[in-house]
Amino acid sequence: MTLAVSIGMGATDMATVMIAGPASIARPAAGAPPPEFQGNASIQAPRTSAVLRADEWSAALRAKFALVRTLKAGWDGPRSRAVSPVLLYKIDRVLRDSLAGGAIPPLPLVVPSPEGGVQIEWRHPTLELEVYFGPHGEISALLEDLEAGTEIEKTDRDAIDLLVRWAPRFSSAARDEAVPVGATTSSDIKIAA
Amino acid sequence: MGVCVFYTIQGGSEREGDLGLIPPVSEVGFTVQFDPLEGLTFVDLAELYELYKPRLPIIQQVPPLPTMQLTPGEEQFAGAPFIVPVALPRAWFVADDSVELVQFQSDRISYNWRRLNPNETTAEYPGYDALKQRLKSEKGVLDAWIERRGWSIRRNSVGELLYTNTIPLMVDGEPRRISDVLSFYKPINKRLIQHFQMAWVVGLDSAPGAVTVTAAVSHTPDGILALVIQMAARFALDDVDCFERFDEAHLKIHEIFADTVTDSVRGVAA
Repeated sequence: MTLAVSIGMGATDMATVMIAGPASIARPAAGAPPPEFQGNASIQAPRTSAVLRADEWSAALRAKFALVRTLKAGWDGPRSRAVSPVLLYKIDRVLRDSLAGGAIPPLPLVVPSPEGGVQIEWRHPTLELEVYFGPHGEISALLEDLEAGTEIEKTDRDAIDLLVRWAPRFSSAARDEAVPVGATTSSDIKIAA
Repeated sequence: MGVCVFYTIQGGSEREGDLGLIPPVSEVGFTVQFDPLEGLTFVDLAELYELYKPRLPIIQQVPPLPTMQLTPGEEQFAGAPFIVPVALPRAWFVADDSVELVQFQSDRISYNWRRLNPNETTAEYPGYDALKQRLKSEKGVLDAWIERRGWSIRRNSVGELLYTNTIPLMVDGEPRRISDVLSFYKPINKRLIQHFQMAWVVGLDSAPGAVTVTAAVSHTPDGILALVIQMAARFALDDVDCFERFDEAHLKIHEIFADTVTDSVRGVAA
């Protein structure tokens, strides 16, 4: 359900205040099985729709981030580090800014790294885009054209430029293939009034 | 007599920091709409970008917005294609750290400040006065460029001040109810609900215009449920110092916020 009142010149799209995420992400269950980060696997109830609205996209991505946040130090071996909320905030901001201008790509894969970073990935049979957000704020991006066998690698500001220009292109591919994406319905929400 | 210590959107970070309070402001946006720049081309946009590039190097282009009206929501009924037949994109000039953003299209400039970190991490909000100075500075860059290009003086028509406050519905691991945040929301039965959104409009006292307020449940970027209270004041700028009008709008927003949230959110000290 969308009841958004479109106001303001905010960069925080008012659509993001719509509810579309799972209630369970507010307080992950203790002892829950390891979250599934790979693939377009559903976190809660699957919804077969390759093209998400901006609010749904944002909520579904934040649901994935909530799962990443449940990882404690040592989650992938004794030296592995937890992902800080600060880094998740930064990734959320960079992605929403980068994708504000064009078509919304399918929900990316969210892959935590043992170093405390997070890699965001879009995959298509002929094209892959990986953007790595390091634990100390560094950003790098790798674009691979699998057909041509070429790749472009960028860091920092240039990596964001690559993200801005290429991530929206995955949306047309997603429409073609109708890949199921992880999202929840409003009936999954429980808010204490 | 109790002493009220507002969990304020008005003061600077130093003041709130002294009190151990962190303002819930997650975004502030200033917009000045003016008579459109006729004949603006993408070449002009490129030239303008060079002026902002040293501080705001990341460029993004997003769809242009229709002309702002003083009646909230009115422009939604007038499709942009009828207003701007051939529209250039709205340009975003973003700082490296993503905190600051200048938006420009042919009839307006906006300056946005966005909180980048979780509220509890750092009191990074610089305060209204500091942000207004940033708007003046960024608009000054634009005005000087317009003058150098030989365009006539632009008449400012509509201003907008936007405040977005994000209040997590989880404090120290304990959930907080909506009624713990909104002062006027007092359900007889405290049951679980699935969706929450309210909107209302408050008129401005001294000038044509109004503040549109919305309160809705969302998530913080790391997935914590949060109540987002957004207040957007739109007001006329005819023949006045537009920055004074922002001050009036800010005071009104401050009043509305203080009336809207509970004492526990405002941080009332006995």
